[in-house]
Amino acid sequence: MILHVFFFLALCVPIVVIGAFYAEPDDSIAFRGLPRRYAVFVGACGIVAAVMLALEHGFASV
Amino acid sequence: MALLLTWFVPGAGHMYLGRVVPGIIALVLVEGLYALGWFLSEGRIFEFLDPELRGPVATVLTPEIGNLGALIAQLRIVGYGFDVPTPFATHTALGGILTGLSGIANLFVMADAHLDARTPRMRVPNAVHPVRLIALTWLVPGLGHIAQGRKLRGAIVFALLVGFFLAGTWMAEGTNLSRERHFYYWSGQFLVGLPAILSELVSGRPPVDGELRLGDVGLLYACMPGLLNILAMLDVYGVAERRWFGEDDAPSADASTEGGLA
Repeated sequence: MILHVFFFLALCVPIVVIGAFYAEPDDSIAFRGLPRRYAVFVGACGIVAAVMLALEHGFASV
Repeated sequence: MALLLTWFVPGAGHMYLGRVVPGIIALVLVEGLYALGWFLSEGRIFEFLDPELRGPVATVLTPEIGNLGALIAQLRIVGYGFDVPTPFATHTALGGILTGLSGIANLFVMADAHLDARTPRMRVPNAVHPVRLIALTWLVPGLGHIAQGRKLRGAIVFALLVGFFLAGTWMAEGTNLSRERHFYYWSGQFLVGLPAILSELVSGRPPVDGELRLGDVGLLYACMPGLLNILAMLDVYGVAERRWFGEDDAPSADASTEGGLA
């Protein structure tokens, strides 16, 4: 479990960095926004994962 | 219109715009690549798809979609092959790389036709051609940024995308490099360009000969950089296009680098 969380957090890095580069042509502005973008992305993924788990336990249990 | 024409017939957009010679060159190169790939694979590359996945739009997520006319022709003429399984030709995978390359090449031809249609005839832009830069970015992630003068960004893009691709390939022990085994993931990692193609050719697509503890993670790690490279290409293209049309008032400090490439 911990290993998979680590893999996920690591994979978030290129997703967030390339996304920031695409959204912001200026390097300094893109770098400044990285921590916030990373936190938002990981947080949003966490919410999606929580909803999916809740739905799985609530409706899809066998 | 030029872009759409090119999608179906490579070079047709350029001919429509009055650029007959570049149009013929594009037609010969792009269709020549596809024809060679078809010949080597005997037109059977889509038989790599699992039978339950085959359908009229199953090939949309392949690099061949860039050369739509040839893709439709292949699907209509040979489709997904015979009902009875037969051995693949020796160079089927290599043929698949060539047809994929044809699709990617035609995407650049389409972008060129689109840009050409919007560039005033008498104007000679003093900037690197945007299509050249996105081709460089596809070939080696980050190279287009560096050629554009954005060296730090290019180095970061290269390190992240190529680094994650290699890490994924290492975790999957190279089994991710087979189009036959991972048809759609292969299409994703094909967008990493040269690193993916070279890895596949050098590794010889190693077989699965044991349990792969990190196989799934490796597959994801190897595929994701290809998809992110699309964003990197769009980033490069956006800036390059502004410079091409003279809309970027503050070019980078390395504009001299661009001048050398123009």
